[in-house]
Amino acid sequence: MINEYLAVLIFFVVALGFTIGGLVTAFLVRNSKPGYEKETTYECGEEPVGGAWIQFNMRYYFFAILFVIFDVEVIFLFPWAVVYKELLSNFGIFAFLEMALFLGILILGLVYAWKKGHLKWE
Amino acid sequence: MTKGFIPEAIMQGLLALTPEVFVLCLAFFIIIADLILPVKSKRNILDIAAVGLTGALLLTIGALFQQGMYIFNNALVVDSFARFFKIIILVSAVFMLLMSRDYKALENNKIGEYTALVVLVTLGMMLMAGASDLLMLFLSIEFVSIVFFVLVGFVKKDSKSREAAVKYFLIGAFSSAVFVYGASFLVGVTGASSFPSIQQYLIAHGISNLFIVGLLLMLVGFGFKIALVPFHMWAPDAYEGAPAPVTAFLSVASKSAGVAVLIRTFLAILPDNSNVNLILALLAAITMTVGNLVALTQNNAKRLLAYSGIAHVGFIMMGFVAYGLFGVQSVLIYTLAYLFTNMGAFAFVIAIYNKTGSDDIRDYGGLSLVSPALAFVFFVFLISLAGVPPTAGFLGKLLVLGAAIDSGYTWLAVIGVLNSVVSLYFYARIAYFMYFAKEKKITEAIKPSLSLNIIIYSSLFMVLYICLLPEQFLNLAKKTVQLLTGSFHGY
Amino acid sequence: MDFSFISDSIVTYGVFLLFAVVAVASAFLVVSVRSVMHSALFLAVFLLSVAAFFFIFDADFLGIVQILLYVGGVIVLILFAVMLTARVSSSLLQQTNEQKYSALIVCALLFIMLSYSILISGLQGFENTLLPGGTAKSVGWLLMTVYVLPFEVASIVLLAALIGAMAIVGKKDE
Repeated sequence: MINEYLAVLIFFVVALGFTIGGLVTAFLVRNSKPGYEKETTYECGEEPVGGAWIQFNMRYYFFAILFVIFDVEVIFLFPWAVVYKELLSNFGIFAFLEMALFLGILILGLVYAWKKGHLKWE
Repeated sequence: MTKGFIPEAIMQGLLALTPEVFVLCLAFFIIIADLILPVKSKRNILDIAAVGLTGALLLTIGALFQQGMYIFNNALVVDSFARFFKIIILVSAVFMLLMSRDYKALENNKIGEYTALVVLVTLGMMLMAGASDLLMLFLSIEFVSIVFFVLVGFVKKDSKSREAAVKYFLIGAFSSAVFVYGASFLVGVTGASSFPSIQQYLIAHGISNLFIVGLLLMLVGFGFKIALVPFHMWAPDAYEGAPAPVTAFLSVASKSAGVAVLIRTFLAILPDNSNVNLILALLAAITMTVGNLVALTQNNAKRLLAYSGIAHVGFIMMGFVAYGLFGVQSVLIYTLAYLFTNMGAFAFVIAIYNKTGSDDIRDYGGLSLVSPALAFVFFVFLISLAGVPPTAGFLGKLLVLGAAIDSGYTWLAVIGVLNSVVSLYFYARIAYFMYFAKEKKITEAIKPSLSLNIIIYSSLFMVLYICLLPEQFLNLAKKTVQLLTGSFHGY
Repeated sequence: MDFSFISDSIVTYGVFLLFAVVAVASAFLVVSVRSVMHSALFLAVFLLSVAAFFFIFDADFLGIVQILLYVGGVIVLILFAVMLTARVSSSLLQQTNEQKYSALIVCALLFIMLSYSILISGLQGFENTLLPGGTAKSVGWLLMTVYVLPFEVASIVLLAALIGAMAIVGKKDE
């Protein structure tokens, strides 16, 4: 038990040291010549367009909600998969059916959104 | 261990939940119908849903007096008490769909989503009425709340509708958080989540302080659902801003489902009610008084009905405070009366709105001249809301007051009577504008559509029938309470 | 190296206390900082420290769920919502108002009520909960057997939320 905490602590220290150490080393060895190019947002080599604080399009929100909904679904899949073998020996095919119903209902929702054109980006 | 595809216990549960399964299939059917039907015939989806829910209603009525039992490992209980509230929920859902048919603000291309949501929320409320496990209880309350947030803000063009949805959502989310916090104390103290197991724990170990605190925090969640007074702030704005059919639905179905879970929870897991009873009595008194006093100055019909609804919840709570056979019975009759009276009144508000585009009661002037029969029917609903004989509202109020006096809450009954007198004023004010206003705003006869007429006249019939021939309704309520499963208090 | 001479419970207690302080402090900052964006980020800190509680008490599955779902999903959703508002770039978007003192009083009253009743009746019963802990196995078994109905209803709730999102966001036109 105590060794587990120690492992977490070591990980934590290494992770913290890695980030802070990197910054400190860079600060020590670099020479400072700030300019316009250097102070703009780093966008993997692309020229940034506009500021970061813009108003998002409402349509992004639907995809965000969709993401959370299917995130929840995946979370439910995981414990089911862990106990599936035990369930199968106890309840037979019902173990599969209960998850099939769960997924079926959500897939119906996805098909509904798809057919109604909510997944299309015009 | 099992022979068939589905274990015995699950099959039994599904059979007991036939109406719910039926409603779920109906929701799927509506989603598919929405994908198939062309835009111009989308209004038919509302009819499909209304017919389907009527079917579920008949199934529920048929099984009303079947022996109650716990199903799905105590997650739900199906007994006559739950079925009684399911009937109220289904009736108001059917009425609500009929009202929506000619509600102008509803766009044709959104009907599919709208109807699917209404059917799903009906399912959620039916589950709520039977929930007997804290997890199931929380899930069903959240289910209903989430869908209602969307329904309240359904007409996006109307900024009032959007504002109402945001207010409703914020207060709703807050009260759910408090509710689940309270429930966590109950689980912590008793180590169980289903009502029968909590009961067993309480019988063995007695009740602790922390348990009561948890229960009081849960009361916040219930209070939000039924708009009890310190938690009622969302109600007037949400009622005013929401599309009128949704307002009617919210004020009747959501409220009855809230009353059902409140009563079920308190009866099931509070053995000796004395410590909490006084708090409930005070809440009832404050709720009645605030609702009625604020209603005095309202001019918007929907807002006025919202405050009057708050006052009615106070009366329902008064019956509940009395506990016992008589108390719960009076609550059932009151809720039934409230269902038909309120639905009728809202049908009128919609009929007049469709004609004049106004919800202001000062614009009701001249109604009695152009359509006297309708004005009189509206008058009947108003006196039923006020609790004047010979209407259902009178019977409900009489029983509730009787129950309160019967169990020693005379002061509460006195406050109730005073409130009734106050409420007469603002209901009479609507009637005054209809009959005697100098400014005649309504100049043409109001002709409600067929679906609104069905609601108005069937409600009128029930409002008068319940009061004039109360015998069988009293028997029905009595039998329902006697068959209530899982209560600490034997009847 | 062998550290077994240090008592387990003391270390657990210390780690718990550390995260408890982080949780309470970040929760307080959520409601007291001015910018909505910052308060959303502090909420992420708070949710992470709650995840740490789950790990400390051997409910590893719940801890993972907390991080994946709340920090990974819900916080992203909240940040989205903040970025959707028209006034996100102006300083007008403050989240505290003049009612903060009355809110403080209500919170203090709740705190007193809770601590009073905990002091009076103790946390008896809390140690022997009947529900098994939060490992993937026990959660899976509970969901598929005891709570099978809430499990299926959860999918219906998600379906309703999906349809609701469709109705709220809507399409341009048809």
